[in-house]
Amino acid sequence: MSAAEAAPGPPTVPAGEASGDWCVLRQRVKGLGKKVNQDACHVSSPGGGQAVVLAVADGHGSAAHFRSEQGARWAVEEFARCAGEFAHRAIALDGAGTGYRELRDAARALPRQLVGRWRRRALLADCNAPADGRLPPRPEQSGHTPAARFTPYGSTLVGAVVTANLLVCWQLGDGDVVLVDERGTVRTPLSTGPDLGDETDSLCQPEAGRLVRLHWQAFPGAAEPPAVLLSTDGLAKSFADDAGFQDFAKGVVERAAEHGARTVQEQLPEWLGRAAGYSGDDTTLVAALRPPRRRAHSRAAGGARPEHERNTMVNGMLEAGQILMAESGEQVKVAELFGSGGQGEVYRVETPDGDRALKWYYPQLADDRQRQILEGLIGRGWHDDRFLWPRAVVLDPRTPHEGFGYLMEVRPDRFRDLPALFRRDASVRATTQRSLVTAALHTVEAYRTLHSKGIAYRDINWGNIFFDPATGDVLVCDNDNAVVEGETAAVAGTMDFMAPELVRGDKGAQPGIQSDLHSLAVLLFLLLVNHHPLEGARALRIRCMDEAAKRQLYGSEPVFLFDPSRSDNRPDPDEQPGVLDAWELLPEVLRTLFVKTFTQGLADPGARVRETQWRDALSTVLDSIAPCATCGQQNMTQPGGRPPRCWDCGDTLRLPPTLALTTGRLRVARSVLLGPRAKVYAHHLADDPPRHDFTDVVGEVTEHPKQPGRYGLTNRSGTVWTVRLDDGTVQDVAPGRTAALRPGLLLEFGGGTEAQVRV
Amino acid sequence: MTDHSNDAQETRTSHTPGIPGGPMAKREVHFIWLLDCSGSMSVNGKIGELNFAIREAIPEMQQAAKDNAAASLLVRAISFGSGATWHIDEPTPVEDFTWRDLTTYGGTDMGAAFRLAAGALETPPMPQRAMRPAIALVSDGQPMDDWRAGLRALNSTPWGKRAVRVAVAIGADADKAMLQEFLGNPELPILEANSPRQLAGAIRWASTVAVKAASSPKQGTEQPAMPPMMTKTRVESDDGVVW
Repeated sequence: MSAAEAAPGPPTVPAGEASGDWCVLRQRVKGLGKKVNQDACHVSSPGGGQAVVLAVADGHGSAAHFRSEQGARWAVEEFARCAGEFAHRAIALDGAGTGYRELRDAARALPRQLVGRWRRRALLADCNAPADGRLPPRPEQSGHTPAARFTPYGSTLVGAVVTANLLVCWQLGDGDVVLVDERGTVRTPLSTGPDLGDETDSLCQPEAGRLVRLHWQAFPGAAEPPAVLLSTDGLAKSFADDAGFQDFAKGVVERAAEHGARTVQEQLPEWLGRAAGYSGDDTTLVAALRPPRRRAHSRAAGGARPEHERNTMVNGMLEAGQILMAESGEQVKVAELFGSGGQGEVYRVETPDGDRALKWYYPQLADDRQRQILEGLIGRGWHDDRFLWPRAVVLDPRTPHEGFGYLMEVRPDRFRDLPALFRRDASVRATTQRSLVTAALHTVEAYRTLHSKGIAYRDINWGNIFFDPATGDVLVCDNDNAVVEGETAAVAGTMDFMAPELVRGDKGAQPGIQSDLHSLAVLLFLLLVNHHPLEGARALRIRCMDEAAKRQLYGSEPVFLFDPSRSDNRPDPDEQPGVLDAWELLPEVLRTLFVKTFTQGLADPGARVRETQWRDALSTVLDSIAPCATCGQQNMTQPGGRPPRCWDCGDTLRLPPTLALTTGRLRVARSVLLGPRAKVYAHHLADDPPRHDFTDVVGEVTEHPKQPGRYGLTNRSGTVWTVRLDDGTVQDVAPGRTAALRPGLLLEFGGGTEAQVRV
Repeated sequence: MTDHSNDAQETRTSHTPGIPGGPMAKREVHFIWLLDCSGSMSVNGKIGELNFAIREAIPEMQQAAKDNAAASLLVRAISFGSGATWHIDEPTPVEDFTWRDLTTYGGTDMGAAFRLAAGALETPPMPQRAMRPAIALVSDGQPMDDWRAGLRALNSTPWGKRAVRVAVAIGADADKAMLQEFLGNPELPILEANSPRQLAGAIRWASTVAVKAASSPKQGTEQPAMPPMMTKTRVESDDGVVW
């Protein structure tokens, strides 16, 4: 007979009892004929029962691991400590909905923390009572502990933290995590497939932290966390197949729902005992049952909710765990709600190719026309890293004729939203003048690429461009309204960005490439001046900014803040001083374009500044950004103009030498300020570069290795340059070599492109 | 003088040291919940569902506010039962907003709630400039006081008459004709919530409508597209006055 016993360990929750919002189960049974139970387990509920921490560990038990019952006990105890801290952080986040990224980082860091603590404990014990019988050196003397020292203590570890909004599981080695949701669907998220014998990953292995598998699952909206069951491998092995094991897990959860956790706990010793009898192995099960949310709330409200309503989710159109089908054939599983917008909701979904984003339309917008647009966009197969392009239409296989969405890549974390920039949020603190102008340039080029293929975007606004504060890289999202010029699409645009003729609703006015140019200019003005170009003194006279007011400001009577012919809408110097300052800082080349597009271009769509003009101006400005010698801040300067005062410290800038370039064929002239670490890019040498690629460096200003203060231009390209000196002599500058910067120096880059250094 | 230097300092301590200028200027969006706490709301745990739905809507509300850099969303709540009272009277920036649970107390004095809201929508206490405020009314029954007088008071305030309005009817007993009158526009739908799911959906939508309306009225409509999970009703007008 196998012996059932309650597990020892840190302060835990009485098994079978409700703890806070959860009921827990806990049982350990010794394997048939075993002397010592080498399993350990832990259940606790930090935060007054708002979270549950579960853990099981299985000491390897063979001759080589003769102290593994200790290793298993330390494993669950140390996990409980790490996970307890983690659980408190998770509770603090719950409901707030932010900070998940930091928490996810913490979840990834936990294995290393756990392994470190486990090893310290093993080492301490081993120093006191060496497993190999010899007197070992003290750990601080040896510096490095051979992995073999940990072998006697080898153990697996399966652990979990679950709150109302989040489930995180960690697993090292064998054992099982089983999740049973409200509908009775069973999942084993960390399963690695069929068991391949007795070999298992272990805490005693080198780099054990890296071997830990992680499962992270958030519950968007009111999705209920599943029941979570952790067991050592003895339990699963006692069943003929996985299906039998999963039925058992499901049965435990169902019985607990029906008869209460206490009843199930009372029966567990017998059930596990039978299992241990079959497998011969120690068998341990811990579980957290019955997610708390709605039951807790109904309790608080003093009323019970009808049973049939428990399974509905209240937030979002799709349910976590729901299986959808992409038209390309792969299965798409809904994971969590990212957010909602004007046209639908965006979810994180799991696909065979990894995580993707899914935009799911509100039913009233999921019409044939939108479907047709989507299919057109997908068929086009846009392969450009600046766009999150629709990849495949997704349907619900149960209701294939009601509603659809589309898959796209997940936006990488480094990209931030523009409103964060406009708020001057800490998340975009890496932004510099250079990265800002670079972002503006990339934005212009991205839309230029679309427009050059005859596609209008139709809804350029601050919500669908994301940027990397450090580099200025951009990502264009929400491309599902882009259509070939002349076709109709559902969206008219966002009022603040809409061209006046569209705001007014002029007869025959349609969103298209020419109206995109207005929206683009508004966006650029916001980026560089951090204010709307039409909201000056006249906007301040409006008390309630409603639709009528906006129609007037943007549609019927739009007046640019800096319209040279009228001053009635200038920014108020008392109330909008930042706008005046920002305008003063803009180089003339950009001010001219803004004035043109927001005066002539307001009335005449054909007179709007084109992307190529913006691109050339922004590129020029980028090449003229100079650091302040006093405070180091980057400053925009007027190309070829007088040095301005630094926007930050107020000192007059000292401008570095200029590289005056002329391209080979079309003789396009460019000038690049050659400050320390300034770079010459391939696009500088091209007549009409298709796009600005700031990774394609051909030259870089570097300091002489032995003579500080002496600068030169280092050849980072693969071709040999030529320099011509004042006396007419010619010298080669091979790749990796540097030409000293001195006034009048002539450089030939090859292909007829040449440059002169000017001061 | 002192104030001025403080302002300047605040601009300086922007979180983006590498670019000039402080945060974009914002207009306030005032959002006021008017929430029914009559005795009938305690039947079948409706008040608990409402508390739950509002808590659920807060993150969404915060996100919607974040997405609009030119608006700052301030939230308050009035509860009405026997009389009406400010449940949360400080206009609270949505990023700091937390919910205290409502409890029920007696009748359905909606008129009192309208009058309380009207007092808050005069200038002052409203600022000189703002976006359209929003009033979201949630009720499950018939008003028991002189609600028309209260509504007139609300409609006579400068901000009250311009407010974006949303009405949520909980269950079949709600007075939909009255709610339609509150909306003031026969084209605007009442959101009907007959289940917790519908209620949460309606509250979620209602809570973000103001700031979304302030930033992105698309497709020519005055309010953003409505999510699907709720029922919309329109009260049919009578065939005629005399027949």
